[in-house]
Amino acid sequence: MSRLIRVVVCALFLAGTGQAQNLDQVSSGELWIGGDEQWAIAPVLSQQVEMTISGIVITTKVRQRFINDSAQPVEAVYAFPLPDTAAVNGFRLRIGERVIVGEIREKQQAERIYSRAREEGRSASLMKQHRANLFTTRTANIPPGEHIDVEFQYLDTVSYSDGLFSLRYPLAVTPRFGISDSDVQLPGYQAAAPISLKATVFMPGKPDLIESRYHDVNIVPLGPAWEVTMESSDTQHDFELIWMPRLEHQPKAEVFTETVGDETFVLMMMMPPQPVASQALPRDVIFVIDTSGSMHGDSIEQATEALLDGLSRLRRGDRFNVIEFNSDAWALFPEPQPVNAHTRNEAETYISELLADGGTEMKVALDLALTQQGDSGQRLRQVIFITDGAVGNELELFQQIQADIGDARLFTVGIGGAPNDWFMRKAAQFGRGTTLRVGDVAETAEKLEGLFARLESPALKDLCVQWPAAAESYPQRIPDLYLAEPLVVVARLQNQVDDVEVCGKSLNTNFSQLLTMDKRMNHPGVATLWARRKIESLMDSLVEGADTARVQKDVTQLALDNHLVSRWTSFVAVDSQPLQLSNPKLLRSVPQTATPAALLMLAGAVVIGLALWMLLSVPGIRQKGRGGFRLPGEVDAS
Amino acid sequence: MTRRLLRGPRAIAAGGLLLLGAALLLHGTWIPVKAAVAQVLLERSWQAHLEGRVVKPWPWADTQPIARLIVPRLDVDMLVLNNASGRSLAFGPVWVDPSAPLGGYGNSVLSGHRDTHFEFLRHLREGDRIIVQTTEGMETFEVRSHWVFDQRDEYIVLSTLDRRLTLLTCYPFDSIVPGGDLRFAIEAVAVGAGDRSS
Repeated sequence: MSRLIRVVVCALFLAGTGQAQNLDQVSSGELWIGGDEQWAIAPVLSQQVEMTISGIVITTKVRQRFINDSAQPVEAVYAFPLPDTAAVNGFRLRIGERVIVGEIREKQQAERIYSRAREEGRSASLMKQHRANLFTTRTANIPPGEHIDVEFQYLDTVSYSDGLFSLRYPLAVTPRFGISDSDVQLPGYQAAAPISLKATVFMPGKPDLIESRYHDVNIVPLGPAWEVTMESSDTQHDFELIWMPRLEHQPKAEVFTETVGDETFVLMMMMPPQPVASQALPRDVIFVIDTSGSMHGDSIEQATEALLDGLSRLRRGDRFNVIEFNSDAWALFPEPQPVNAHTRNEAETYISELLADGGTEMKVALDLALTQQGDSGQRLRQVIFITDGAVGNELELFQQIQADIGDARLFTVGIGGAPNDWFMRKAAQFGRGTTLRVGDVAETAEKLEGLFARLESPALKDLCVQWPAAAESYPQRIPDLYLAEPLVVVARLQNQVDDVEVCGKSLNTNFSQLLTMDKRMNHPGVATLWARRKIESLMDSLVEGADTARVQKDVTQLALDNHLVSRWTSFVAVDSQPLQLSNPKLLRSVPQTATPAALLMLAGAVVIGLALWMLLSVPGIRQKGRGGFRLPGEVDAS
Repeated sequence: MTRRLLRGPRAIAAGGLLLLGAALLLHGTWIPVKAAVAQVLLERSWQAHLEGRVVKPWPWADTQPIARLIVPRLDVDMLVLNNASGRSLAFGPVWVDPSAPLGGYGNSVLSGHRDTHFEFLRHLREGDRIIVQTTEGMETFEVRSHWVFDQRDEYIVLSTLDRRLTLLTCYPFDSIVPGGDLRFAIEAVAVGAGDRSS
């Protein structure tokens, strides 16, 4: 029996449950382990997270510890979500006292390096991206009775909404459903990994508020910063930290710069203007609610509440419709109806009878909501999509939204413990709307209040940033600015500039602001974020029909240059010393697989030819004398 | 002149060469014939194997069929043997120890002669279906890629996350001389089980 892992036991593990799956099909936050043809031995996983927040840049360091309490070297595969805006830019492996720094490589090359190290009995780890927001680490040859620490680092930006800053670290998991796998509960080890987290928030002065939404935390001041610590194994909710700086210090817009060589990277975060008295336009509001099986329980309750709340906020003059979807989609009314006591009643009854069951065929629902609701005329059409986003065909849906959105705006409302953030955000982006995430039943009403208030308010449109020439900025198309929601733009500048002008239009006034760059402060991470946004923009262009080969080439180069994990690049770290094991059995040499048939036949033909030639050309030889061709015995004959 | 040729020791030598040449030719021809005949004899043993009985394909056989390999597009249908010695290779492609067992998880490696059983590898294209039948049932694989490597500095990864089939043979296909370190590999991945969308 091989002392090495011959079969990655993730596969065997799943086979044991009767489901053959590969990593693309599994949910996030799962740990599998393998040993020598046995998968039952579970190494313990623990996680340590350290976050540093300066300005709006978050640097997160994660340490995953895999402990192997068996007598065999094992391989561990851990799949976990990260914020979909995260830029993973550092990776290393720690074995005892030794630290092995990971290198960024083209994905397939990284996999080859990893496979070979595993076969050679070296400890190795590979970190790659499976989807925009799903990453895996695979660690081979964790020594028996030992532990290996896998450490990685990523950059992200803090969110700002309704005067609150917030950051999240994903702990919760949700199964994802592909088109035809709608009612299959994925098997797997739900990682109830103990986690210890420390966040250091640099902030001048005492904040008006700093707290964790779902977990018990300790908060202490530490010099110019606030240190937040948490120990937990609660994977019901993601960790979410919110804080509110003193309002009087709150600027309207901020710029952060980082200089790398002779290039300057700029991050601009623009806060929305103060709300003005709303001059609301009449609207057609299409509510779409996900009633698939994954919404069962708390989620459907939240969603129903959200719907009823949305309904109550409609005004005279507005029209509305309600669409429900799971394996198929149904509309309450064939066309949007005016809001009155009768239609309201009908809708409330309909909503209260919704049951969560079946698949997630979002395509049908989007089609019904975007193309089959008649003409809205002068009305503002808003589609409010309430779902957990547990789908597997995101790209196809983005294409559909892009093609069918017309003048409508799509707003996504993420429901449940771990909605698919990437889908929510991108769907809203392609639908020219915004997204909202509701994490807990208790806060549904409060959060929706914010969203609906925002939707009713006039947005700041036609935003522009007057970058100097030769600037490359993302997003390339700046979206509308909604109240209580900031706008982040990153740019790379070839030459030095002192200030940048931002302009836009509200309903009846023009808006403009001059931003001055403070070059004395260098904000590490801005360049990385710029690269990450550029990659994101390139990936988005695929939906719009860009050439895949070209995008792949550009993204790969950008990711290699910036040490970023992407769809086509992975981090790999390999120990230089193999484990002390008995000789591993490897398929090092493969059998000789050619018969001598052709050679034999050729030799046979040559020999026969030679014999015939001898028989036919004897006189010739004789005439030439003895200097010519001679056979043994010929001497005697003459 | 003819008379002289028939008599002299030179003629004896030439006759000997003729006989040697004929023997070589016969031997060379016998190899592909043996490869084909063996497959016919193996069939009986395979049917017994499927029914759970052990029947030797021929009395002195030291090998057993363990699977059937079918490529519908190329009309390939042959039996796979369990012993990767040079002897078994004469009768059919063989499963290479210690690769994953056929029908199990990981990478199963089969090896065959490039000029007899596995000559068809050169005609396989990406997307071709390969069906493997074992006593466990049928499994369909789809050809993903092929490559040529030097067996001295590369080896085959056996622990893969999926069910995988690697078909190996010597390379180049048309070389007259057997031997050499180049190998040709076909990589195929299981489809069907666990892939509900296809």
